[in-house]
Amino acid sequence: MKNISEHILDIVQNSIRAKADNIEILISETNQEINIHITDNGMGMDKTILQKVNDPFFTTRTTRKVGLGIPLLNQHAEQSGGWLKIISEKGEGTKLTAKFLKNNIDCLPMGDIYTSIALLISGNPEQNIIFRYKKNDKQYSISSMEIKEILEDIPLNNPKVANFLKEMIKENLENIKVSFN
Amino acid sequence: MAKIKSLEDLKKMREDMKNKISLREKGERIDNLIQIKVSMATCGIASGAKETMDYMVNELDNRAVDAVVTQTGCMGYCYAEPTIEVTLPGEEPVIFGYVDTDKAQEIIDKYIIKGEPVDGIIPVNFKSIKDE
Ligand SMILES: Nc1ncnc2c1ncn2[C@@H]1O[C@H](COP(=O)(O)OP(=O)(O)O)[C@@H](O)[C@H]1O
Ligand SMILES: [Mg+2]
Repeated sequence: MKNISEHILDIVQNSIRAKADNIEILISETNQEINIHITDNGMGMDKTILQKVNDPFFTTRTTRKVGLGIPLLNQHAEQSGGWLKIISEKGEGTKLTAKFLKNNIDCLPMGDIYTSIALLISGNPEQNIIFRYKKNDKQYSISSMEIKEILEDIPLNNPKVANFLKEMIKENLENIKVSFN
Repeated sequence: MAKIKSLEDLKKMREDMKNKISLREKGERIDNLIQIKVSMATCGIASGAKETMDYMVNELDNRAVDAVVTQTGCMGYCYAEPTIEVTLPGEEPVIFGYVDTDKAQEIIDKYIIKGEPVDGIIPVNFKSIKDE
């Protein structure tokens, strides 16, 4: 993974696979750090699974032997001096928090988060995805629900819609002075 | 500075799209919809699945192709990521491997628009991909 936005795209796939229909992505950034919070109402994990999740060879999937998404994110957060934490309850949902320290030279860049979010919202029309970016005292938020209300019978996964969302999110994040590299 | 795009602009865009669509038959439209799924597993993302999906969405929009593009989980073809599944109207789904932006362009130009064969198809028992 080259940047934080790719990690977010990847981590949200876990929530979708856990049958979540509500997924909240919150990024809060200050001058020192970037905090990522991803909260879902999916099937959650029991204690034994939760304990193993940080093991790079653990996965409950059967199509492939290794689970890599969480260990990679953990490694990248730690290499910046930050950390990763997962809270989960079986049947309730999961909350993942990752902290990155920006002033560390090993901290990954944000990357084109607007593309990740636009493709997540447009490419997963069954889920309600809520995205919020807080940069110091300013913030921007958008959700699948608000977009669907406007679109009515036009599908969320229409390419024109995806492109529009990407531009809209990009412009609004630039407006609150988010830097992508 | 230009005005920042908002949901108001989305509303205007929808009106525009609705007017164009209502010129065509509704039923016909559903039958003609091309369905594209992009695998978004960790190995896919690490191999550029995000760039592939972004590129396809852009191209399909620019050429006004009637398609929907969704994300899907691991298809189990880690060695051939990024992978995509394309279903043309009335046809069986086809899975393509190693779909970088060049390959995506070829698939759109030849397979999606002209219905011509393109290599890079992963042989499967022609069943739609699902996560596991
Ligand atoms: N949001 C979530 N809800 C439920 N289970 C999860 C969630 N995120 C991760 N898991 C569990 O942790 C395992 C490891 O996740 P990950 O490191 O991303 O690898 P992978 O997705 O390839 O299995 C998953 O297989 C799943 O069992
Ligand atoms: Mg994963």
